[in-house]
Amino acid sequence: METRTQDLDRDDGRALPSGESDVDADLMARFAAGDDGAFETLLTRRRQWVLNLVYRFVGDREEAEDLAQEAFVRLHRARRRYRPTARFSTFLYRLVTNLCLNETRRRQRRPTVVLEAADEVAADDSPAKTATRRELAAQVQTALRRLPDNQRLAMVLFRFEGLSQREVAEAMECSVGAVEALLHRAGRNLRRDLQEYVEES
Amino acid sequence: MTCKRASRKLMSFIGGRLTLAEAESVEQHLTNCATCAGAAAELKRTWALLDMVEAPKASPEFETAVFARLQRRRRWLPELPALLWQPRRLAPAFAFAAAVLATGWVGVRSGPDHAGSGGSSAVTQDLSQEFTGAFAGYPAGSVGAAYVMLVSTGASDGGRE
Repeated sequence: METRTQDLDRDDGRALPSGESDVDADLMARFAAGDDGAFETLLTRRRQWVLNLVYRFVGDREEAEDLAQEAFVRLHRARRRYRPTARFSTFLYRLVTNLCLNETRRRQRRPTVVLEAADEVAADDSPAKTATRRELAAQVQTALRRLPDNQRLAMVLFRFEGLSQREVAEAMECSVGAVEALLHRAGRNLRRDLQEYVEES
Repeated sequence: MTCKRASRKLMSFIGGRLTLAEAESVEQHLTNCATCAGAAAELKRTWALLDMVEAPKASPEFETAVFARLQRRRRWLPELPALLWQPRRLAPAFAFAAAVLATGWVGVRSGPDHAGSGGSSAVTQDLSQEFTGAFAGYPAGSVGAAYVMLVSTGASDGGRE
């Protein structure tokens, strides 16, 4: 069973905690009560996490940064709606996933070319190895982007955020059975699209 | 466990999200089914390939950009839900909208269909024509909405923000 580190004192982009004792929830509650500084702290703590999630969904750096910033604007505007009784992680996942789905539908933009995914390569990699790695990263990213929005979102939340199917279902506001089906189809599609690399590996 | 059921559980199995009992059940099936075992192996390699997707670092201007967006929205798109909590700030807008509606109603009542009913004086007709003429071509609702925007934008700029 995978475990998720819950070190929340750094802006490291890791998954949000699913536990109830949640520093972010306290910050949001303080912000809702009128403490603007709490929002700034929340922004600093969670910007990388939101960007990671959005980027893995949209696959384009510029668009991801744009959407991630918009997510914080929505979070700012949602302060009166937030109730500390709801888990902050669920609240934020829902806000970001809704934004991603709605914006991609609205923009109807699905670029097919990738990307900066493999820019950060190991210093000791040879140029040939780097090129191969970049190509592979591009292929993986393209395969991910080819998935229908719902499948891709379920996969991003499940694979990269480490959520359980129940948590993915809460974030996407659908049933656990639907998430299971989405993940099953996403896995099948990715296997098909990456067949060549799957066999090589 | 059937092949269909096992294949639906594979993703959770590989991601380590099944309970111990569920995982053992899938493992048992994979031991006895070469087709599903092959699919599981491929899926496991696919899962590993996804590690190649690395997200970029947030730009140094990220926070500044968020606050700039908030500032722009405050200026041009005031928070209506917030205004609804403060009815006093909306009172002028409601009064204006009521005046527009009343004027429109008087205008309709004093139109050609009601000319013979003696319901409105000539002065009222002149006033209503002059008033509604300023907004000719605009629906009454949009005029009221525009006023709400103006009032609340001004209040927002000069208020707590």
